[in-house]
Amino acid sequence: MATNKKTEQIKNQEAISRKSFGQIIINNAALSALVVLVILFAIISDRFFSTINMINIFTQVSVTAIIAFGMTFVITAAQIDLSVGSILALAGMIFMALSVAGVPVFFGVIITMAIGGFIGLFSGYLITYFKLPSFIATLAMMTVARGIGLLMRGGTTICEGIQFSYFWLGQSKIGMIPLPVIILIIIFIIMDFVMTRTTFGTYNRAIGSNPEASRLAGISVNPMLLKIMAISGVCAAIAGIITASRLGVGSPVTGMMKELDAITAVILGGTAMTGGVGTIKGTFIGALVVTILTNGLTIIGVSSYWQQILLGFVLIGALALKKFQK
Amino acid sequence: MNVSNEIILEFKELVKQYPGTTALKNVSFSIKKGEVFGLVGENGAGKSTLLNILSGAVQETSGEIFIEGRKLTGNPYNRRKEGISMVYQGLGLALHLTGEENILLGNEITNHFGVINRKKQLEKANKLMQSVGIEIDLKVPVLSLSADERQLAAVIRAISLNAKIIALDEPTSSLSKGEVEKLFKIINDLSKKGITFIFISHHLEEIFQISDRIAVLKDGELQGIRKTEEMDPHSLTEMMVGSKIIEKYDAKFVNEKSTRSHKVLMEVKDLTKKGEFYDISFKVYEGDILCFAGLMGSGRTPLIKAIFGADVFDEGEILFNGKKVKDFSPRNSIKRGIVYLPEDRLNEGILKTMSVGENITIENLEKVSTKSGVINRSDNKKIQKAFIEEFSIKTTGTDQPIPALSGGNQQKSLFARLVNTDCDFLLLNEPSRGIDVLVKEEMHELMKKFVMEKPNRAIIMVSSELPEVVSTSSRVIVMRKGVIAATLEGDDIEERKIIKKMI
Repeated sequence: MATNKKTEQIKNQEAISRKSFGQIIINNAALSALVVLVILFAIISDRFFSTINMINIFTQVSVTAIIAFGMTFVITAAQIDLSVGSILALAGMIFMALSVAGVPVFFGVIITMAIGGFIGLFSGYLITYFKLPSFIATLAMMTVARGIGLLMRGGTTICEGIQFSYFWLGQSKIGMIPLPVIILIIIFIIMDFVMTRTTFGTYNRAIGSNPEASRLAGISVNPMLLKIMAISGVCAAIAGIITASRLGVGSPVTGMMKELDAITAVILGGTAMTGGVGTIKGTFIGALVVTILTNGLTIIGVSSYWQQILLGFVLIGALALKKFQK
Repeated sequence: MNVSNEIILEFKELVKQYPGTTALKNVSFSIKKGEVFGLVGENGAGKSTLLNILSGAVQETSGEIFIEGRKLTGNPYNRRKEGISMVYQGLGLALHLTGEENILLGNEITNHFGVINRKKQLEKANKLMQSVGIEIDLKVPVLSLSADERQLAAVIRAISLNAKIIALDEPTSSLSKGEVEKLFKIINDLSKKGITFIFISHHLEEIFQISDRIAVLKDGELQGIRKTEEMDPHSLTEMMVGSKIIEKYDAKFVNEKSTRSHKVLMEVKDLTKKGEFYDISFKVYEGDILCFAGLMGSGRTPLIKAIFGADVFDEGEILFNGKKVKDFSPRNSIKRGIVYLPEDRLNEGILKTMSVGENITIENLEKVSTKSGVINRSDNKKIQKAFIEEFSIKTTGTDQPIPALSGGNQQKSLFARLVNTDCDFLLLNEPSRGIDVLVKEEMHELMKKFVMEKPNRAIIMVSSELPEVVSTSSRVIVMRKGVIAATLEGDDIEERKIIKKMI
């Protein structure tokens, strides 16, 4: 009987490793899509693969990806954060308002990030203490944050009296690499490390998998949720700082639908809506797919309306492909 | 049990292949009309797979099924029309719908426009209940019924579908003894009327009580079919397991330490939670395996959860190592060395999206990580591998997703999770539920070893399986309707005395 079990075990291992090339492509859907898109666009247009455009892509992706990284923690915990787009806009307004008020840029960044964190914390409080579903709680904060941003200057932008130092974050470069990309890489390294190599990451996945089982196993579920929502808020604020700094204005109407881009990136990357599974590396690829799709389509002249439709189908395709993944 | 000689169901050369494993290997046998047919085997033997193929939930790799001589085709919706009805281990009820809605789900009484006639539905459901002598509230969501009421609702649903063949997968796992008797009476009555039953259970006494014939599956192969009257538990277990196991259920656990050591580890004083338990007072000594016996609803789960700090209580106090416990929470209990094994392994225990290894170390990641939370991956893996080996957990490796393991191995993984916390005090809630004979024995040995290995250790256990209670406890507290009915020690621990106090 012992030999039977051994042969079964070996058969199991073989079955696991014996995957066809097609299966490998399906299992790494986002990465495959990325490769296909890059090749496709490079063939269609010679402007796509230029150095300028590559730098462009990475600068554009930084905003989406940073928000999506925060969103990855949230979705892994089986929650959702719909307020990130509004926090982005509000953060931009606050950042520029601080600049006009004469606050040094260092403190401007800290204060703006803290405010983003507090908004996230408040959503977390609604979720943990008032037991509101995250969808509802963050939907409410989405409208509130947007409203505050509009209220600040009666619906218009902050575009005058801004200190020069505030443009530095979004518009300067180190060598050929724009600063937003460097910020992106730093945040990527930190958050990927946290997700894969720390207890925080493991507990994040645990509470998304089963909050009650996690509680009985001694994990402090509510404090974790508060921290996760706060992190999402901070990420959105950083994205808002970068956006405002690049544009040179604080605008209350930016970031519309940014939450959908972020969620798309997260899902494409392999994190499941049902929680318990999360990957920052995957989200990065997802964000690249989303950004390259928009970038490439713009270059070849496809209207932004068609772009939106295509993006929707890409998401559907990615989810459908999950059925065939082993 | 009115068994004719007419064959109603025949399985022919049934094979089910999964990647890497064969769940069923050329299984062939037939069942007679009006029979109560028992199906037994270890976890993973293929019993549930067989029933899932019969009910159409799973597609067979090859082979055929014939009902009343007719071959069954692929479409699972045909199964119901053919008269095959299934009560799953997970019950298959829509928890937020009412009893009446569940019973008639898919079979609603409507007018031409599709509007449901509630009154007629209630009448029909009530009639069905009365015809089998069950009584449950049909108007509330099934979620708010007790576990045994839900089980009965699932059975009524199966019957209501004019089933000729009803398959039951572990129907008694959450039923009290009284409820089991009720269910068996219903099965007997219906089988006399010509309805055929297929019955899967780990509880061999029940299989012997209710079935006409028994089939044994092992590793996907049919070992044999015998008439129940020609079998006994020993030979049946031998067929299931393939080797002689010593019947340990006769031996009692007398821990020498507990008769010598009078060191009180935990003292519970006048613990009360309104609606659940009242004035509970007892002491736990070093080396004890203290077992709480009682019917469902007697308050044992709320009590053990309150001791763990997972649920609140209204009055009373708990002293641990002489000190009054103040901050009650699962986390603080674990810090004190008190851990909890939940009753519902699937929904309160395992983390389904994580691997075996992660499930084992999750409760004590501090041991393998720095103060700032960075996990030392090789240390983590070492511990995972060590437990898998020590507890003989059957898995392809530390990274295998835990849902792929059998129920018994999942339970062992949870037990490993607890032991990994370097705890001294275990709170186990129904540790053997849904576990096959061999793993059950392993767990009992692990428990006894745990309590005797080191000083200052004890176990509080909640169990509804009397043989387990008798063979593993050093002391038994029987609860009835929320209060302590009796405390038994030594020779007083035997099934009859316990049952007497339970009712």
